[in-house]
Amino acid sequence: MTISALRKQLDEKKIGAEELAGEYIDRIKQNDYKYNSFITVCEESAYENAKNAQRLIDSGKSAMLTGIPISVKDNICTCGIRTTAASKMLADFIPPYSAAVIERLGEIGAVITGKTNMDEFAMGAASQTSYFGGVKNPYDTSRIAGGSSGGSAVSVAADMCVASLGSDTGGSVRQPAAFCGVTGLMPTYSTVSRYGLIAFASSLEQIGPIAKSAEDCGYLLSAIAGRDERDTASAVLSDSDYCGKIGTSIKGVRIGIADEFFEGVDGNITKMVMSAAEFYKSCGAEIVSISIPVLEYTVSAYYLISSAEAASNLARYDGIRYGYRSENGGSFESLIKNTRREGFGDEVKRRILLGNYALSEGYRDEYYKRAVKVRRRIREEFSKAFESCDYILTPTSPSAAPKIGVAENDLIKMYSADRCTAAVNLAGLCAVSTPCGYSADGMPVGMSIIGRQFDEAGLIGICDRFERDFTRKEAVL
Amino acid sequence: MKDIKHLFELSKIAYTESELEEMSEKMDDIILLMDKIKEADSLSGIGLEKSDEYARLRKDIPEDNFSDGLMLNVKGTEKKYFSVPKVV
Repeated sequence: MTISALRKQLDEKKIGAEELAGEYIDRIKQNDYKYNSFITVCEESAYENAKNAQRLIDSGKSAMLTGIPISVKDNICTCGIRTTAASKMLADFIPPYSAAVIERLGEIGAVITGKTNMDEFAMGAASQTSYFGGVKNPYDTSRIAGGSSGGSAVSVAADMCVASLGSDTGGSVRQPAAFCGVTGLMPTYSTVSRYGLIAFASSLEQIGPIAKSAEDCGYLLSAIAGRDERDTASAVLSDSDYCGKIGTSIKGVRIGIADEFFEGVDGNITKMVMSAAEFYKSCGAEIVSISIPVLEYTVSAYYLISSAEAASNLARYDGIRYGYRSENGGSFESLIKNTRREGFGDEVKRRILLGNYALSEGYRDEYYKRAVKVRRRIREEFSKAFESCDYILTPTSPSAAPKIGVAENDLIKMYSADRCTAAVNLAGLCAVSTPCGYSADGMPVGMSIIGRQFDEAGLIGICDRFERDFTRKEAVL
Repeated sequence: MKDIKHLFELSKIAYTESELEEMSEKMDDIILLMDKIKEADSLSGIGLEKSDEYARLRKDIPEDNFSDGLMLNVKGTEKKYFSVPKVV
């Protein structure tokens, strides 16, 4: 069910907030053993949230998300509720504070039903590096859910919540949304406060919504966006009604297609994205050809920058201040080294090593400095492209969800698949992924629409236009 | 292999010989992928110019964070640990 439909039922007292919370908690208990999409189910606190929501509804003070069951990726801190980042390092970490987005959802009476599974520290594109086991795709449980916000995407696709919050550093909201047949939005960098988001790559990551429609993503974004003094990078926004452009005409809107985004992409996926372009054309949009040649360096620039930042951000996990501590102490130095050896998974170690390699003496000019320059060039080329178009249409991923064990065992192929999404993070733009078709074996295929900085409302409007004419196939649960 | 060992030391992560070997193979592939960035020099404005941007950085030598001298100024130490009052 959509947020607006549930809002109506809650406000008209056709269903109570506690009853609704109970229904979704039951669905998690009954179904999640098949998907492993939740690390923690917040049953007790969900009922408390629901009681508070019902009070707001009864006093006529409900907001769009009051009483709506929402899941949250497990790298977003929740006061008093375990927050693990899917790592052994934080397996027992109970934060003494909540992230800014959780505070905002709490103020308006949203109901947090659980913390979703993910790739360890959000490093991955398959949700298979979790200390708590891999996530399975509800369309075919032998396939990956995508990542790193795989649990969030599955929780929405399998109707275990109405919407979810994920985080996106190089495609981690959009790609799992594409693999699981739902909509995922990555807001412009600085739109949403990162306070309380467990840091991976601070210059790239944003918290973003995953839901069954662009409209629902808009409601969630409207609730969490805006300036927060505790994240100095967060922006003062003039308008936070992200559903304001739904229903407006797209006649004359210019949609750019860049060949570079389609290199190495499955032929059927290319056809589906191009047929979406034709749909927009039939609605009065103009399709324009653009070029972003620097895209071929996206993957290396993204991995060098994000890993360099990860190496620094994850230096805090030393077994002294909080988190896992090795039993093999010995000296102070060996305690730290053993803690990090035992507490981090292989992918996290690889990223830390790569980050330190890129920043180390003799290599920093060759790798990190070049990557920073490429990032600047990516911004410039997108900026130039947006002189001749309003939005850019691309595939979200070169393929539909692969089988478990296939993608994550071919690291280079998995890293290379970030080509379609990571450029948006490097350029600081916003983008949304929505289903645009299904593969021959029934797996969802996503397309992405990239917008200018802070044009989330326009992005949601144009995405909604497509969704209204597209028939989604629900996962058979 | 020597480079990977050095990276483990810089990253303050302990390792066994087999872990070192396995990581070495995977890192070789990853670094090969990262080498693509060097081709970006062909784009105008990307090529490396001389810069002293990083001139103030220290040498990359893994250092022990802890010195015995530090402990001489601390009351209530036990081996290499600080003793602090019980709070909770």
